[in-house]
Order: sequence, then C-alpha cells, then structure tokens
Amino acid sequence: MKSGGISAVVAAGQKLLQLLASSQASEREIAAAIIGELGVRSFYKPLLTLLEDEDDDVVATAIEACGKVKNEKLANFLIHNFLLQGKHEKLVMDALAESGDASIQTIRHVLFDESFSRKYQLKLILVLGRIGSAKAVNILEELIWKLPAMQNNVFHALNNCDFVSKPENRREYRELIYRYLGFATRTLFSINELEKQHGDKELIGALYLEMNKIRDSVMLLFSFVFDKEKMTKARNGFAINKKENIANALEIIEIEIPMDISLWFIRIFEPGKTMDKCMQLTAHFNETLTYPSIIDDVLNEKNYNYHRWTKATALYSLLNYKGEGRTAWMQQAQKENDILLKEIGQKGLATAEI
Amino acid sequence: MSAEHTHHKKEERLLLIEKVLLLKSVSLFEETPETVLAEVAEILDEEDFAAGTQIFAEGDVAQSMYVIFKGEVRIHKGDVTLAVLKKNDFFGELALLATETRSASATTESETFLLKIDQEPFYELMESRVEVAKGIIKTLCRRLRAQNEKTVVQNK
Repeated sequence: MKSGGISAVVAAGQKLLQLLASSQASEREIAAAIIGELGVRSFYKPLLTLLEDEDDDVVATAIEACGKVKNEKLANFLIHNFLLQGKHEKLVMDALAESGDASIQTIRHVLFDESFSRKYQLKLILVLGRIGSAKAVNILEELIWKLPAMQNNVFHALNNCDFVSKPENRREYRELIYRYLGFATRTLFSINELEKQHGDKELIGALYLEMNKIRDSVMLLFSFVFDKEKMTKARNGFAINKKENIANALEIIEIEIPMDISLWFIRIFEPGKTMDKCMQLTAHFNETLTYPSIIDDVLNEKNYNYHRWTKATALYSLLNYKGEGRTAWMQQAQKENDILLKEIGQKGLATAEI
Repeated sequence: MSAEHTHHKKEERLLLIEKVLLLKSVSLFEETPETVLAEVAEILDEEDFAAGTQIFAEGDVAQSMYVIFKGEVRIHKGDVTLAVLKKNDFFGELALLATETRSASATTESETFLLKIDQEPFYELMESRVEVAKGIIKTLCRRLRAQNEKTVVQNK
C-alpha cells in the first residue's frame, strides 16, 4: 500500500477493510498491525473501533498501533479509556511516549486537573520524560510549580529530557535549591529530636528516606543549573553509597557549586552523626522542635510534602502517644482515602475509646 | 491448598503498615525502601491455617511466597524435617520470581497465620513500578557478588 500504484492501494485497501470486518480476532489483529505500520495520522478511526474490540489481543495490538499513528484523538482515547481506568497501563504508556507531541495536549489537561489521581499523574509525568520534546519540557517546567508534591518525579522526567535551565530562569532554580536545603535541615533536626527523646524507629527511618529523596532532588536541580556531566557523576556516587564514592561526590560539589550552597549541602549530607551535623547547622535553623510539632509538620505537610509512608509512620508512632492532639490527628487520618493512613486512624480512635 | 485455611479474625488483622515492616525483614526485600514496600503490601493475602495443615506438597507448582506472622511451619521431605520456621521467617521467595516445583513440603505445626504474595499480581506491580524490580535486582546482585567472592576464596 505504501509503495504501490493506485490499483495496488485500492486492492490493499479492500483487503484491509475485509480484515477489519473479519469475525476472526486474529485477522482484526493483523488489521490493527497494518494500520500501525502505515502510520498515517489521519487514518485513525478504524483504530478507535479496534480499541473497543472484545478480544484483548486485538486491543493490545491496536494500542501499539496508536503509538505509530501519532494522532491526538487516539492519545486522548488511550488516556481516558485505558490509563485512567488502570487497563493496559504499560502498553498505553509506551504508545503515548511513541506518539510524542500528539499526546501532549491530553497529558497536559490531566496533569493540570486536580481531580485526577496522583497515581496516574505520576505515570504521565514519566511519559513526558520519555517524549523529551521542547513541548514536553515546557509542561514539566510548569509542573515544578504546579505540583510541588511531585517535584522529585518531575525533576527525574526533566533529567530524562537532558534538561538544562535557561540562564534567565537560573535564579528561580537556585531559590528552589535553597528551599530544599531548608527542608533537609528541618528534617535533620527532626530526626535529631526524635533520636534524643522519643526513639520512634519507623518514623526516624522514614525521615532518613525523605533525606535521601531531598538529596536526590537537590542533585537533579544542581544538574539543571551547573555542569550536568559532573553533577550526574556526583549523583551516581551517592547512589553507590560507599564511603569513597560519597567522598568523591562531595568533592565534586565543593569544587563545582558556589560556596554558599555547597557548604550548606556538605554539612547536611556528609557522613557523620546527626547530632554533630545539627550543631554545625544552627545558623540555618533556630526553631525548637518537639515531638508534637514534628508530627504536626509531617501530617499537615506544613513545610514539605512528605511521602505517605512517612505520614503512616508518624501516625503509627502516635498509637502509643497519650498527649494532646492525638484524637484530632487520628480523626483526620480516618477521613483519608489512602488505606495505609485510614486504617491507622481507625485503630487509633478504637484504642482511644477502650 | 487445604480448605482448612480461613480469613484471619478481623480484630487480629495486621495493619498495612505492619505488613510493610514484616516485608522489610524478608531478605528478598531488604534493599527495597519501605516507600515502595507500601505498595507491595497492598497485594498480600492473609491466610489462616489450623495445626497440621499441609500448605503445599513437594512437587507442587510454586508461584507464591509466604511470610509467617504467627505460628510454626515445618518444611519436610516425607518424614524428614528440614527446618521448622517461626514468626517473621519466610519461604518460597524464589517462586515469586520464577515458577518452579516445590522442593519440599510445608505443613503447619500449630495454628498459623501467613501472608502470601502471588506471582501474577507481583509481576503486574513490578511492571508498573520499576522501583519494586530495582530493589529485588539489588538484592540478587548483592547475593551474586557475595557468592562470587566466596567461590574465589574457596578456589585460592
């Protein structure tokens, strides 16, 4: 059909129509594959029909074909009828990524509409990172400010696009780096306070995981603003998590990053005791933290968007807490949609009644 | 699988967070952060067995991993006991990654409460959350490295 004359196109077209109307699923699957191979943007309607086929293999082949046809209407159908329904997720994500800019408008709509679940928004952020076009990068940059809870995922997606910030935007990114170092400092002081007083192993562990995530975000931000290659090398050093690799990573940061940032970063993330680090960081943090203030900060996301696991560990530690505020926190958790938090809230209230 | 297993009594149910903490103690998941295990915990099934119930027999097709929350499980070949597993012990972890036949039988010694992960939902989760696979790959790499080092030492 692609290279033949008019008569070949007509004959092949007729054969394709027969395959599309066939009662045999295997023949409809072939039709879907052929439409994909043709890759004609305007020839999308038959795929809309095949996407609703009763046979799962036909649907799967039609989804793959959508990636090759690269049509906006198909991308919209894939997102609303499959991805947001939790069906054929991986195939759909591959097809959307292959569709490139044809997927962008619908993805943008879902990402900027707060009624859609965070779970699916995360998947679409990943797809944008795979598309990697200028339009995808623009949306991701907007998302940094629009979806603060997903900033780390957005940074990863931008990193996949080999993103480097424009010189006129660098100030904003540097401010963001400062904010993250502020979050890290607060988290470190929270860990220190918990280690000193309460000793909630799970909550402390969760806060250390938050520290790793903050470090990862800062490293990605460094790579958007400073020498990308060297920052990637430093980030990999932290990922290996061995003494000598961490030392090399810190050395790169000391050399490459301006001192006002690098010194602060090194004091927070160099190996050592939390208590000693906090003593060195008093210039950056002068609040007095208590167990209830830490719990309040985590559960109400006062300074940072904590992971659901961190919130769960904070609630779990409250099960043994007798002080003020316990009931209010448990009532709040009981209303959550997230079962991880909800059931701790329920247990907390049930045990309070006893 | 025996018909004697029942759903665990509601008041004794584990919270999801407790399932995560239990999973973290399984060596296969030791490199997987709890933030990711919180999703693995959602696909765990809870199963209760009376004492003396056979969980599986040698030669059965294996597609599940079990973690003991309460009770004791005897791993045996016929009458020969290979091990008696207790709370927080786990068995069948490799069956989670590749279908194989059970190399021994497992029978409860006392009333037992198990958490079970089936291969199919676990594979689906790995497909949508690459971090789950990353954690397991890290653990397997670490084991392989340790095994290689052991082999080198033995060959010296």
